[in-house]
Amino acid sequence: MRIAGNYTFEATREEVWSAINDPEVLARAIPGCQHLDQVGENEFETTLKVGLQAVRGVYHGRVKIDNLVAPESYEIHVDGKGSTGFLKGNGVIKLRAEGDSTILDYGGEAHIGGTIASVGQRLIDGAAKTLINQSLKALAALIADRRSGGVADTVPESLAVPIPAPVPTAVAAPAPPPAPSIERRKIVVPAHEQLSEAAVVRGAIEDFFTQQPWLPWVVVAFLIGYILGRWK
Amino acid sequence: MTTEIKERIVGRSIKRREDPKLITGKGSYIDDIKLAGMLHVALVRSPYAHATITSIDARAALAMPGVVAVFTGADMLDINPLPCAWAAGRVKNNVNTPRALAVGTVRHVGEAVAMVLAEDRYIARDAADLVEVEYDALPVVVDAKKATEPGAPQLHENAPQNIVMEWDCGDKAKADAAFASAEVTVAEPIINQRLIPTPMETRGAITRYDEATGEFTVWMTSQAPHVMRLLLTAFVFGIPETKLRCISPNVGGGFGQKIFCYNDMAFTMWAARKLGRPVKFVEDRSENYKASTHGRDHITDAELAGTKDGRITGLRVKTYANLGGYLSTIAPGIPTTLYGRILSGVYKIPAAYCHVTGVYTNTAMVDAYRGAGRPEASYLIERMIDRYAGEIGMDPAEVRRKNFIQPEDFPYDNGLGMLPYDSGNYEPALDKALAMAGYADFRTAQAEARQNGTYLGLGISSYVEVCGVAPSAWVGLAGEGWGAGLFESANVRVHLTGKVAVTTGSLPHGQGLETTFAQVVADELGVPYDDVEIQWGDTQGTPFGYGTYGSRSLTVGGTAIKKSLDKIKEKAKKLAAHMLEANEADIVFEDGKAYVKGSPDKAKTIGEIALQASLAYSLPAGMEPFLDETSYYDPPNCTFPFGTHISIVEVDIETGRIALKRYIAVDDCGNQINPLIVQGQIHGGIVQGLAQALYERAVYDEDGQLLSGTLMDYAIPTAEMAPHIETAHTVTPSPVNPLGVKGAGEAGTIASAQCVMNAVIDALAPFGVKHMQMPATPERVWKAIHGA
Repeated sequence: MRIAGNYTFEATREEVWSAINDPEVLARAIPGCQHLDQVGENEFETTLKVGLQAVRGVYHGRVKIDNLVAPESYEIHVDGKGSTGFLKGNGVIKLRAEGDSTILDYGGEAHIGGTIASVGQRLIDGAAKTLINQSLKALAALIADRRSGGVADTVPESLAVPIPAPVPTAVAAPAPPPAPSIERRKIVVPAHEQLSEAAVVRGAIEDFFTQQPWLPWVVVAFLIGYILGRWK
Repeated sequence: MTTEIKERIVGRSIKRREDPKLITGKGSYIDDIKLAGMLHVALVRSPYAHATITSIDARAALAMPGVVAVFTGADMLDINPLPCAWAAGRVKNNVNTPRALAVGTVRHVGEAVAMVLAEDRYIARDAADLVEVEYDALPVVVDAKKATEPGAPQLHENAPQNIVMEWDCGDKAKADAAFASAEVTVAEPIINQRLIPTPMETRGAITRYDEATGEFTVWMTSQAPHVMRLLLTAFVFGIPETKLRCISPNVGGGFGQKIFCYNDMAFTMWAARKLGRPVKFVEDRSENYKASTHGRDHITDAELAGTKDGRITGLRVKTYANLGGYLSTIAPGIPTTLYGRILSGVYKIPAAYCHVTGVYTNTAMVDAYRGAGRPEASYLIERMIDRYAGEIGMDPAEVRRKNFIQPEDFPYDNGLGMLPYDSGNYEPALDKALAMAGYADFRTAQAEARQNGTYLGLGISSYVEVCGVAPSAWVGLAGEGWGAGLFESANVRVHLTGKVAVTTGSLPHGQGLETTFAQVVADELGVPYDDVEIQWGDTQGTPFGYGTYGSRSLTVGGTAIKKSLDKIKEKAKKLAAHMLEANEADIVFEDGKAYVKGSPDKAKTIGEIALQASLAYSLPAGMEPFLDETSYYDPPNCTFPFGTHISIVEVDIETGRIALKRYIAVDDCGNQINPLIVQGQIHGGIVQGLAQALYERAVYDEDGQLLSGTLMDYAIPTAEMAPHIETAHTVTPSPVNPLGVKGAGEAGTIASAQCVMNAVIDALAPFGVKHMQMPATPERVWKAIHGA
């Protein structure tokens, strides 16, 4: 499965770069992320509880980042599995400034297997898109929070990444095993700060209505027609 | 005791006696069976199409309350892999069959890796999710042709280039010569896509083991319980055949998928013996889709040679047959014996040659599916005939007519190593179908409709099939790899009350055999239809038989019954002569009564004779008591039903959507015992075949993931998608068997896919479309129209 898309942040490229390299921020922007464990300089393990369509389930995963070019781009490698299947993916994330805003382009290829492949294939593109969009939307909110001095500014700089796939995770270093200078740590996301299933669905519905402002009127018209028809 | 003179009921459309029970939910299917203390199995299946298993950790699953045990392939090394019983086509040292559970390597998605046994199904399912299996993924190949190319991932060490077998038939030199000197040749790549049989009931097995006697009882969703008993005991477990009893309860459709020996039979037996408790496994739908057998999946290059005036001179075919990750029970026999040997269809083709390469790939096993090889053959020749007719600008009906095997040619040897076609008269069926379709006026109507932007197409399919598998004279031949004739058995007993019990190795799972067989018995013995009971499905209590598939149950199984009835009648005549104090030679048996020729008023009924035989106090010297006779029937030849189907479609060129306007089926299945059941079989078969043309396709992605893994993704037609079918018949009784029957179970499927595709392509002729692959989905049709 190929995944590609972009998202526009009302923030500078440095702000976005810093956010997408901050595990504390990412842990709150990745759908259903329960914890994010840094196990190496650029390597993370995570557990996600995803509750959307065919990708519903608990997933354990490992993410590595390499080829970092600050503040422009990096590559990520994801390897995750759960009760409904597995995912293995590689992707590139690029940031480009445009005026006052920053555009994040993502692209990659994911291999999925198990039930999520055979049962969910026809749904997976939509699910992936929804999860990624809601994740990026949450990220944008977190960046806005940071500007106004909110969360996570106490966290030391380290790397973490949203994954262009329904089973996102965390980050890891390119070659050598975890450098001794890196402190292993575990970020546990409090339940109320997780990007929950409900938030994803709510966000997706909000977006849908924003994109299709006429839709409520169609529903209203249908209901009026239905009631008139029954009344007659 | 008297019996009134009865009307014959053979040939009457009486309703199926099995239906009231089945359609009111009173049948007993595998999942209805519950035994005391029974454990339930859930399987851990591979999400990878090709991988090495590096570790299996069941601790979390075993810790779950209600879980009794978890077993893996390593636990079951004391039993053998499942056998391949039909190593057709010179398969030699590269047979690879599945084990009860995978050992070391998995070769297709859904392959069973571990079994969890628990007190109920839900616990087992939840616990299966807790079994941690680590895999090292290996490269994957799903396409049969690509699997044979250099550098392709290898599935089995003993099968270089993943080749199972290279098989051919016909005369290559002669075919090459025909092509070298041909006036016209046409060539087309033809893909017969992979299908999933989708019986309404999925598969399963329940085993009870008796420690005291060492006997297993296995309830199974099987079309062939006697064969399963043989394979499981002699090949898998190495125990005496007599230590296993196999029972097929009501079976909810099979379409071939339930002929074969499956791992669940073996692992439920193994676990029941190990744990001393009954063990049940029933697959769910997506397991059925991933792990039970699929059908078809051929990639073919077909060439046809002929003269400019429509005489076919040669046929050359090269096929890659995808057999999946392992060989299923009779897999190699399907694209060889049942395909290549019938490729020339109803036509006299003087030079034909077929080469088949059987291939392992990282996909589910492929084996017989309704029609089994013959739909693939029939699709190919009928598409090529249309392609040829288009090339020489001749009416496709005329090309068919011109090349038909003629009535005087029978018995006909097609030169492809098939037994001689027994009988046939193809032209009347074609004419009848053309008349019903209004063919004479159709072309004008079609041209007018095109002027108005309506694109109509008419497709013809003239077919012959091979039924009544399988005579020892055919499959027992050297090189066919089977080595045993597929005979069938029947025992008939007339009890002292005059009630008749028939046990047979044939067994119904939708064919209405209880009804058809009872009709034959009632007429032959002259007893009331309701006095006849047909019993089947249990190896304890039925004589050894090969089961029900290949349109064989009436032709072979029915004839076995007929032979037992003949023996009963002979004995009845002897006893009647004794009772009437007459000479046996003077006794006539008619309408259930035996009397001395010329004096029917002093008759003994079959009931009176049976009573006498059972009481046994006055029998002729040397005669054994009871009317009880068993027969085993090995048919001398196959039967060759035939017919012509015509369909008319309308293609919406804006959307690519196809509307099936008419479907006409003229079939000749010989004598019909029950025309209503024949019609039902034809209807079901046609819908299953046209579904291949328009809807169904099992799709694996490049990673070997089955994308069409549910009924939401795999398009089984619903009643709304089925056309009104206009049926008619010609009757050419088969000379092969005394009933004159030919078989009707697969005819519809064998005829219909190409019938619809020919119509679709005919409709698209104005756009220059000469061929397209199945299924003709709106997207493909639209692309064909727009040359995309």
